[in-house]
Amino acid sequence: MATAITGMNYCLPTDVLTNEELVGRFGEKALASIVKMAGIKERRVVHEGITASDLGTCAAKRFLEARGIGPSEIDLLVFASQTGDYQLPATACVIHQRLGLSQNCAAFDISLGCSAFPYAARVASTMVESGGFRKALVINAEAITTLIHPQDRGLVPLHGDAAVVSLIEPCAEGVGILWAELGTDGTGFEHLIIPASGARNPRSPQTRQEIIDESGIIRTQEHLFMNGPAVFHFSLHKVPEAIKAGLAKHEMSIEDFDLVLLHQANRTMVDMIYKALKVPMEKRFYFMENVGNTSGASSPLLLAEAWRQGLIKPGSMTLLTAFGVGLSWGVMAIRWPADLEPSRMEQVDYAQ
Amino acid sequence: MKKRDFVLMMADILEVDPTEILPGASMFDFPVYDSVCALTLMARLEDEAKVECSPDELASLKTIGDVEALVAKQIGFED
Repeated sequence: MATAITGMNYCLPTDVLTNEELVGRFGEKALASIVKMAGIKERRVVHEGITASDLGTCAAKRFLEARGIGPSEIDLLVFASQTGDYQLPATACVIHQRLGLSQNCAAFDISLGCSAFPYAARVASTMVESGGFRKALVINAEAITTLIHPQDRGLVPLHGDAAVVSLIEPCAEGVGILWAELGTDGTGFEHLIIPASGARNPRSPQTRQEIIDESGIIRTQEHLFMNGPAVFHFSLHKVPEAIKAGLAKHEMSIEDFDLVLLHQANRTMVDMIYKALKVPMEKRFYFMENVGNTSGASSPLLLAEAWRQGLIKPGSMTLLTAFGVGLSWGVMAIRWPADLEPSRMEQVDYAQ
Repeated sequence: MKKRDFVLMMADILEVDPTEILPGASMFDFPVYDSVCALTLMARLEDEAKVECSPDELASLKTIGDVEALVAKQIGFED
């Protein structure tokens, strides 16, 4: 049995953080260099008290309503995020309750960051392919800005928050998710990390002490840390290599695809990967300038926006790659069904 | 890579006049050189000079001369 993404919807928080506001926080010169590199003008950030699951629930409710799908029809819910509501239970269970899903619906979380979408899609599609499930909701949601120290001028200008819902269902053979190759380099686990965030290094008054690094970046051990050079190097070398390996394994090439989508880490990095793969301009698509890097929500957000803008044509081919914290990556190939429905997405701003 | 192009690239990255790109100049004496600027240097070395710069190598670039030596080692300079 084959499976396809048959619909998507996304939700953005309503607070807008502009570069003008960040000039006041970081100074014009410091901000200018990162803005030049990142190509991000503004980001959507959650208001205090709003969580990733709030955004995800909002997107899912609107999607089910627009498609006329009853809660009892959903038999699998996967919530992929690193900003869940609680350490336990799984946030999928909270969303299950909020959407009023059936007790016959399996619900669980996947804890991954930027690479989460190909992972979650492959897990859900494999479960549907097994014949045990018919309608799987995958929610990729992140409120990553809540994990970043407000004075971290390396990370604040890059990131935004978002949630995306995807519906995965059985489809005709030969279309849908053709393959998803997943990979990990655990030797890089410390390159993107919140050092004091779990059992290994419990939170304490000491972990709340501010640290100022040699570049003047401020954070605590309870905030997100990124080893920029290591992550940059990984992205520029491992990611093109993983894409080429995936294509070679399935005897495909960039020419087979109409659209090549990359995790929206920052504009410089995305362009360098495109260049390394010799992806023609007409196959490239960006969606970060007004939303920022939304971590695990980034690659499905890009896909949903491409769909919304009419760039996903029935019968066309899309190659999507996501990569980041872990270090982890996934490369996914999709052939869209000939009877693909239009996006039908209207409202994207969060509302309670 | 031509030495002149290297000097112009470094001057552009560090936002200074090309005359300030001297082998003995410390990277950290350029006001714009911070962690983000270091990433820009890494990206432009890869993109424009086809010079791969590992995170360890990036951390070891203390002077303009160090960057020059990295370029010379990997691709050399044209006359």
